[in-house]
Amino acid sequence: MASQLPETKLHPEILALTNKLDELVLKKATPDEVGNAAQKAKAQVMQVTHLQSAPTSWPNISRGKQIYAQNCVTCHGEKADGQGVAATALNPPPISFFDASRMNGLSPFKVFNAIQIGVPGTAMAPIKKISDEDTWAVAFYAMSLRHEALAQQDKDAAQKAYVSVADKIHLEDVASLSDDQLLQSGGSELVVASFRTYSGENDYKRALENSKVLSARFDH
Amino acid sequence: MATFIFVGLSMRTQLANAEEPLAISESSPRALVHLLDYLGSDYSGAVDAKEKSSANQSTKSKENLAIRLRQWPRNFLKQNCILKF
Repeated sequence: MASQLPETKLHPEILALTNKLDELVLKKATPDEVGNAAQKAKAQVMQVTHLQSAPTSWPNISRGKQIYAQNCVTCHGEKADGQGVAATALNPPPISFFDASRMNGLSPFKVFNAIQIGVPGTAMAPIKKISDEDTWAVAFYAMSLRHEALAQQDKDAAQKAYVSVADKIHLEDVASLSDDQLLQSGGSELVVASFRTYSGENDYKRALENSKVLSARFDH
Repeated sequence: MATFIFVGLSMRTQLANAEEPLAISESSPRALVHLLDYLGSDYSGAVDAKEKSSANQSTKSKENLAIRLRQWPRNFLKQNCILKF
């Protein structure tokens, strides 16, 4: 999984971008400056290394729920609200997957990376024993939780919402874009809920086959 | 005296937090991308939280994160990622 970065002539560019980032953090630059510099460097790394930002097939959210139960509940809690039995001893506390202020900016790709790499400065350590497929499943599961209620309110409406934009939004987008970015792309919260809770079955799948990759418009 | 001990303990805790090793130890492309994502988004949150200066627990956590980011070793990116290219 952890392949080393290949030797290419583009590496000096990455080095320059990360040096710039280092300087910005040191001089306590504005969040916008640091954020933009980080996104530029990230885009360059992804371009050079062809790092996959999405699974090859739609993850099974039910499987993700099982993986979550086996690996995540101690800290994040059975209800995924960050209230696991170990949570009180952790600083910063584990994330609640229902916390909009934290979740709006996350994507399954970021959650996938957090699981496989860990999160600096927190108790979130890398979980290496889970396969890529299962990691995607639990990442999609975590991202689906706060959308479940809306999607379940009216399944037909959720499916119609999905189909209405499915030719514009691809699996790669759903994996790599945050909820905020999906909202900007696809419209309503119901659309986002239908994408986040979709588990790769029925009519949705057919619509996906003709879809286009939208994520190129974003820096993720 | 009690105040002195309390301040001392607080400083010690802060230092322990600040010196806590960052979790990323590998040099894979994914690790670097993750680090850049983390820095790009959480730096913003950390700075915002510091400016708001609240007793709220999550805000305090973000403030701690800001301290860590400010004390980020200068060559962290290079030591962990770039020099291993």
